[in-house]
Amino acid sequence: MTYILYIIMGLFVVVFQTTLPMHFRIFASMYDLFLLFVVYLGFYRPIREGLPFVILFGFVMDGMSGGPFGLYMSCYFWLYAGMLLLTRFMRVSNNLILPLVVVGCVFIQNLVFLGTMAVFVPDVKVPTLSYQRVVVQLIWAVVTGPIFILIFRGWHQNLEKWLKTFEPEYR
Amino acid sequence: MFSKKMILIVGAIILIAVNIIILSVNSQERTPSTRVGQFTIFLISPFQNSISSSIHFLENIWRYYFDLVGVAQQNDALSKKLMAANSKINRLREIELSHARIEQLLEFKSELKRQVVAAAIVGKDPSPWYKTVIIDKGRDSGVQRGMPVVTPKGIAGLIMDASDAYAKVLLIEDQNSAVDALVQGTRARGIIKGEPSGLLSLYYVLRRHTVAKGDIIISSGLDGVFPKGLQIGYVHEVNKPSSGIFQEVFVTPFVDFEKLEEVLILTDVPQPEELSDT
Repeated sequence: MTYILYIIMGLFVVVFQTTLPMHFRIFASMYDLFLLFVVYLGFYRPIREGLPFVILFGFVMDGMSGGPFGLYMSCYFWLYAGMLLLTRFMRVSNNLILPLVVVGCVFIQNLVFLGTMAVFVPDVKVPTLSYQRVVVQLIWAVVTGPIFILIFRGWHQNLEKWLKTFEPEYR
Repeated sequence: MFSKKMILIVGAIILIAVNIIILSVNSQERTPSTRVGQFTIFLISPFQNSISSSIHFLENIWRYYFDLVGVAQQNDALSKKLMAANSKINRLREIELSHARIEQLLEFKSELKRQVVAAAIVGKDPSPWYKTVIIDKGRDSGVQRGMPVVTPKGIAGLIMDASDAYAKVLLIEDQNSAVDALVQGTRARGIIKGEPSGLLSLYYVLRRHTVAKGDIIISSGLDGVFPKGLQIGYVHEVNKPSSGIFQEVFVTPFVDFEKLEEVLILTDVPQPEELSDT
């Protein structure tokens, strides 16, 4: 059931960020919402749940994007690994660190994308105004990121409780 | 022999190295057509299509509601304009008939040379750093990788990957895109590439060629992808640096990529012998 929930939410995120910015300009500067899943899975869920999902949706995003194939997957994988590492040194139950972590992920992803363009695309010009785009993304991330993660965490916990009521030993 | 920490560090270094090599290889081969890519387009695009259709439907309802509010006031004003317009109708009818004849001739001519497939845009690139869109026509409609994508205003891009019912288009505003182009007036040649600012750049134009602001840029047909003579944009700015053999030419595209909704795909990709004729 958890995997189905992840797949539905993942598909929703991919469709959301590839469709809505075309119609509503306000979403054009939105950050990659999938990073919230990376943080959520890294912080609160076991590796056997998180890793396959991170890799799978990295592939999906690479398929939809015009960037080099593997860029999204690499980015998600290493950020996920970073989240796992963070859980060893920080108390992830403290929700106050969420804004910092989300902002960090968005910043690193932009850095990786711009770096990849700068290194691999011939004659590339890194946008001089790209910092504005990144700053807007960071503001979006710090405001909405922790809220989305906490809401999703609440949903997931409630869903798991509800599913447990169907288990024989619970009755 | 080795500690667990040492094995972890060595493992991570090997993973990073392999990762960089894979990214490097994928970047060399700019538009890899992979089964995974095609499968993800096949998987995601129907959802994008339905969401886009729903949003269009809601937008129409919203727009028509506000239209009705103002329609009573417009009615009075339009009644007055109607009288004046009637007198113009006779004159315009003559022009229209003449235009229709010319259009029929042009359509006939273009139909003989090029076959096109019309498509609607249903999705865009998830990353703001890359400029691609998903269209609702794929291999089933004869769309294949490498085919040029145009609009009535000019060149839009080329097909990067195609699944059965959908395809991914690399727009010419992307920095990975390249179109062999000419300045229409002076025939100065260069390569059009995307700029981060949203403009295009005409690279490798020799300093000795005269390029002026407002000059029209067209495709040269020498890249083997875009037919000769398709409009791309007009010159926005020309800079001649104090050194170097090339000048910097910035071009404003005719196509407004922010408002792009429908495109045409030229499905008869020119063969080498056709190119040599041009």
